Amino acid sequence: MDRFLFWRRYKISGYLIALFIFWLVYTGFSVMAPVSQTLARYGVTTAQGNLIRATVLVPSLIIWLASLFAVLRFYKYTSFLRGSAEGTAFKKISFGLLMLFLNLIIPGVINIVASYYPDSLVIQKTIVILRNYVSLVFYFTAFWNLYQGSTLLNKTIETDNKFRTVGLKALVIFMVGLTSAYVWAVFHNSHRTITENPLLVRPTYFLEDWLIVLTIVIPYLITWTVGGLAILNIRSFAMDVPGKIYRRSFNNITYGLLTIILLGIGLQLLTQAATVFADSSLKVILLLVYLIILIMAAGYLYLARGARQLTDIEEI
Amino acid sequence: MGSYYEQIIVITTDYLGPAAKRFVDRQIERHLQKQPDDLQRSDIQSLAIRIRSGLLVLTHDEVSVEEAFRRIISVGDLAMEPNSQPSVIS
Repeated sequence: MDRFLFWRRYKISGYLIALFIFWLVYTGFSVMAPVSQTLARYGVTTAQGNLIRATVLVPSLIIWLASLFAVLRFYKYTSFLRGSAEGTAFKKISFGLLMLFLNLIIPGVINIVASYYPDSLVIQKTIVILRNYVSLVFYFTAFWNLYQGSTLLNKTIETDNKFRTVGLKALVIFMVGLTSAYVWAVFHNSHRTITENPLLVRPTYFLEDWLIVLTIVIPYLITWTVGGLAILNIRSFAMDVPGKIYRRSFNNITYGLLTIILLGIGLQLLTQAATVFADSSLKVILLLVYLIILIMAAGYLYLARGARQLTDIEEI
Repeated sequence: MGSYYEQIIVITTDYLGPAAKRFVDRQIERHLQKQPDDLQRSDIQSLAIRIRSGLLVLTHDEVSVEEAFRRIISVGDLAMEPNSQPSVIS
């Protein structure tokens, strides 16, 4: 095997092993944390609580690995494009994916801190606010870079403006619907600022309404619009890029990115529907979590597959 | 009509899109040990075979690969002198 290829392969597996070790540490801290009052609310014992954590933590590892694998594959592919017209575009897309990967991990790590102080309202409040803003920053940075990268990508080819015009109209309708649903969900969420027992049912934001609107609702609407524009760009590029073999490989990237962006938007919307899930059974919540993890992992694997196929073209 | 190299890039772009130029350049530099601008008609058959092998690694769509191969070969054929014999494709 080519020495350079071996080095690159080693590097990818090195990162994956490092992530696995990090996950072991994360899991250790997570399992050692006292069972939260939230779990106690469902009448769950410590042993059952740990079992539930394990069933969420193991699929989490899969999605972390799938996501990191996709990011590394993208960076590897980007390394072949130095100096080419698509090079800068793929660099931005890779960075956007890196931000999405970090968003899978960092808010979870922040959350663990809260689980060690279940009786401190100040820490719970700080962690909720911090986690919300960290997640928002990661999502915005990710979608912004995906949008910029996909715009640059479209500039490298001749695109059919008909699709973009129709797509933009559809996006406007989608955003009007999404805005209405989001604003409705936020302001019908009775747990948005405070709850009867914030240590048992954590408020979604711990913020006053005006701060929720200015620093959460509006930034998220902007983020989703940017995400929608990125989807349009990527779909437009996938349709118009020449090369039937290249297009087939890029289609995997398209499906992966579409799944991840749409699921990202869906996940953010779901977190606003806290009221709905506050009364749901643990089984329903876990089922939903598994389903999201499964679809997200599939999205990342599609992405990794597409990046590998494009890399193959550059390696032959 | 452009040079052989340009014509081959145009054909390969129909299959490999934006990656075509880099792909063809690599085949010429690695396997023909030449610079792309130095490509001659006599190199086209070897290059077409290299490109066919490369494409077969990338896709199972043999119809498209054979189509690409024939089109690249024809670049050499079209450029031949009227009295010269067409190259034999093994």
